[in-house]
Order: sequence, then C-alpha cells, then structure tokens
Amino acid sequence: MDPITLGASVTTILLSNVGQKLIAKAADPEKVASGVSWLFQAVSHFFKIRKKQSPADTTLVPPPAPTVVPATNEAGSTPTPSSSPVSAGRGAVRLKALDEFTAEQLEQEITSLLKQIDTYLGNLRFEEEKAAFHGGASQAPVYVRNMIRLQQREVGRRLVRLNAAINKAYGVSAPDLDLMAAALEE
Amino acid sequence: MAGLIQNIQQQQRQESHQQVEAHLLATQLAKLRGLRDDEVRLRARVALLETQAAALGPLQRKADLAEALRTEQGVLQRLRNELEARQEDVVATKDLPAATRLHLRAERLDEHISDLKARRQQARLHQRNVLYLEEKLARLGDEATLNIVNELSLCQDELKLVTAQLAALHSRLQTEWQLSATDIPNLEDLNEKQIMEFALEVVARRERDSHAVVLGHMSDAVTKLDETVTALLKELRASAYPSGGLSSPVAIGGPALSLVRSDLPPHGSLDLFVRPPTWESRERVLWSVRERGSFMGVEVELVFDAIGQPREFRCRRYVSDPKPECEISSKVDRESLKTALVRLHRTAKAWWEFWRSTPSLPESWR
Repeated sequence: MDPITLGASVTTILLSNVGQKLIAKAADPEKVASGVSWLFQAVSHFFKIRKKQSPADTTLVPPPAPTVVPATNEAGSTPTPSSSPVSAGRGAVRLKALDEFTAEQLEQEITSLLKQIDTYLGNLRFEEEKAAFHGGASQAPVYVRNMIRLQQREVGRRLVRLNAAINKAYGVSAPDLDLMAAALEE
Repeated sequence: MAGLIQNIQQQQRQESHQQVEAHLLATQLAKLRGLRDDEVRLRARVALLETQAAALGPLQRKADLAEALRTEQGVLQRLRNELEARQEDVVATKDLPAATRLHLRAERLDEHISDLKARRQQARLHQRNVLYLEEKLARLGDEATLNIVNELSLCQDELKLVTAQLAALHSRLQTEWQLSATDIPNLEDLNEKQIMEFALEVVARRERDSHAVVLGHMSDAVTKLDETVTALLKELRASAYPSGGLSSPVAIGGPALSLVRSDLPPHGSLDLFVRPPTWESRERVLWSVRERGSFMGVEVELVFDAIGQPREFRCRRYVSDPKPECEISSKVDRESLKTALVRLHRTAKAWWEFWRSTPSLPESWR
C-alpha cells in the first residue's frame, strides 16, 4: 500500500465532508489538507529509510505551520481561520536516532494504522454508496448516516495516532489534525 | 618489653579477626552465588510464562497459566529483594576485592537488561495482538462481536501495562546506569552470557569514569592545599624538632612526589613526603614528617568524601605508643589545621627528647 496514494484518498474523501466543521473550529481546511498530505509523505519517508531504500539522514520537508487561532471577540462571533504561520523558516526534518526496538514497534504500528485507515476508508465508500442510493447522505436512513459518521470518526482517530507515531520518529507532527479529529467526532 | 608483647598480642588478635571476616565474606559470597543462580533460572521461567501468556492473549489464556505466572512472579520478586539486600551488604564490605564488587554490580545491571529484553518481547506480542484485533474490528465493521471488542480492550490494557513497565525500566537504566536504549545494540540477539559481558563492560567503564572524576577532584584539592600543609609542617618541624640533626634543608615537592632525600644522614633526619592520591587510597592523602627508620613523626591526613571533596584534616603524632595521638579538624582551611597541629604538638619537644634518650628500646623500633 502506497502511503502517498492513501494520503490523497484521505484528503479527498474525508476533508470534503468536514470542511465546514473545520472552519467552525477556526481551522483552515487547506492547511489541514496539507498537514495530512505531509503526514503521509513522512510515513513514506520513514518506510524508505526502514527498508534501506534511502539513507537514514535523508531530509524531509518540514510540516506546514499550524493555524493561529485568533481570540474570540467580545461579541462572541465565530472566529475566522487565519493563514499566518506561527513560525516560519523551519529547517528540514530528519529521522531521530531510534533504537531498533522502538523503530520496529513504530514500523509495525504505522503499517497496521495504514491498513486500518484503508479498511475504514473502504467501509466509508461502501456506506456512502449506500447513501447515494437514497439520494445522498442527507436523505439516507439514520443507520446509514451513523455508519458513515462512525467510519469517518475511526479514520480521524487513526490519523491522530499516525501523527503521534510520526512525532515519535521525527520529533515533529502535522498541525491541526486534532482539530480535524474533533470535527469528525461531532 | 611489656609494650612489645602487648603489640604482638594485638597483632595476633587482628590477624585472627581478619581470618574470621574473610571466612564470613566467603560464606556470604557462596550464598549470594546460590541465590543468583536461582534468580537466573526463575527469571528465565517467568519470561517464558509471560511470553506464553502474551502470545495466547487475554481470552485464550487458561486460568492455571495465569495463576502459575502470578505465583512465579511473586517468588521471583521476593528472591530479588533478598538478593539485593544481601548484595548491598556484601558490596558495603570494606575488604571485598574490587573485581568481586564489580561483578556484583554487573549482576544488578544484567538483571535489568534481561528484564528489558523480556519486556520487549512481551511488548511485541501485545502490540501484535492489539493491531491484529484492531484490523479485524475495522474489517468486520458492524459485524464485530462483543467478544472481539472486549478482547481488544483487554489487550490494549496489557499493552499499556507492559509499555509502562518498559518506560520504568528505561528510566531506571538511565538514572542508575546512564544507559539509554540506543546504548544497548542488538539486545534481542544477545544471549544470557553476552548480556552479562555487556553489563560487566558497562560497570567497568562507569567505575573508571567515576574514579577519574573523583581522582580529579582529589588532585585539585591536594594541589590547592599542598602549599599550606607543607608550610605548616615545616614550621612545626622547625619548632618541635630543633635537634633533628638536619644539616641541609629537605626538599619539598608536589603532592605526587615522595620526598625521601638520599643525601641526608640516615639517622636523625626528618623527611617530608607526600603520598600521592591513588584510587586505592581514595579516601585520604597523607603528608608525613617522619624520622627515617623510626615511628617518630607527624602525619597530616586529608580525608575526602565519596565524590572526592575534602572533608577533614586528621593530624597524628607518632611516638613509641602504637596508638598515635590524633587531632581532627573538620574545617579544611589553614587556620583550623594550624590549631590542630599546635594542639597536637604542645609536648612534641618533650617526647622527642624522651625518645632520643631512651636506650632500652630495640633498634628495630627506632
């Protein structure tokens, strides 16, 4: 399974459904999408190093800067997403010097998470097709809508875990994925 | 004559005491060896049971296996507690040979590293169980049974527990031995013997580093204090032993130099020498003024603490009595040392004259 292709599927399938929710959480959907894309690039980078296809000191582009959450104004209006980065000019990222056991554990976890994400995305597609027969998710029975939400939530949870695993390996992680997972939990 | 007999008797008593202590130590070491062998055997058995339990998973695990594991873990823990307590006692023994002390310490480290290896093996199995069940759950979707969900939850709990144990072991290795996970290469490929060899290497390296640091502290302190001590001893010699027969000044050098001048007359000369700090004499450094070939003299001993910082001065005046007079200055500075030396040598001149004029003492004593 190619992580980059899987990342593209996640971005296409998942983010199209949660765009509005993300905006409501003051997150920029574009930034979240680029964060997801970076996460799968990092996974691919990690596997290449583990499989000795790339040297261990190969660099990886840094993750995009996280969205700055502006303080809620006094009128309590919905905050709008900001595109200004927290920090700029961060250098390239390298895989940390991990002991073999930790690297092996991370590799197994990441491999399994990719499988699970792929499975849940397959389930999601299946449920969405079912909903399509009813004229779309809004017209679908409650059971189908719940199943769609369940699959989305599971993908979101696994993305957060994948991000944590990458953080262990590289010391950096994709920003705003927790916001996306929170949006998917709703 | 009575003094001489008394001295010989005391020496005999000391020798007898040393023999008893050596016998006790040998007995303790033999007991330790037995306990250690039991621990190694039991540790291997517990690791095997833990691996079996992890491989079976929480739902397939039979009650008797879980019970046996709990019992063996309890016995192993008690055995380890006893072993640790006995090891601490033996390591604290002053006469324990350095190699044995090193070996005992290495055994403690070996225990931790072997535990780490066993925990890693379990963590692998638990992680595999969790990931397998998660993947299965994802594939089953709404067909998933409560059975799988419960098993997954139990497996996750077990994985969390083993991960916490691993983290605690890593933290212990880091704190007690300054060893990180990356410092133990290919742990999974090491057998028992290789782990022990690795532990010995680590402990020996650590001892060497620690000795170097302590000796560095000691040398710094000695260099700093050498001038003060030698100046005070010179003053003392000049005032307390005016008839010492010194025809030429005695050379005084740095702390690492033994100063016994060969051009001085063999009798009646007073030589100042400094015993250099070595690891074997790590708790003290001596500056001595002795009359060559006799007990007459004075010593200033600088006593260090465990990390090589000066703790106190002990000043001794040796006369014919085998037990010297001693003044201890708990402050390590010039004034305190001077006070102690002056107090000690208030009657030095009288003793000196008495010693020189007593013809009954055998020559070997002088």
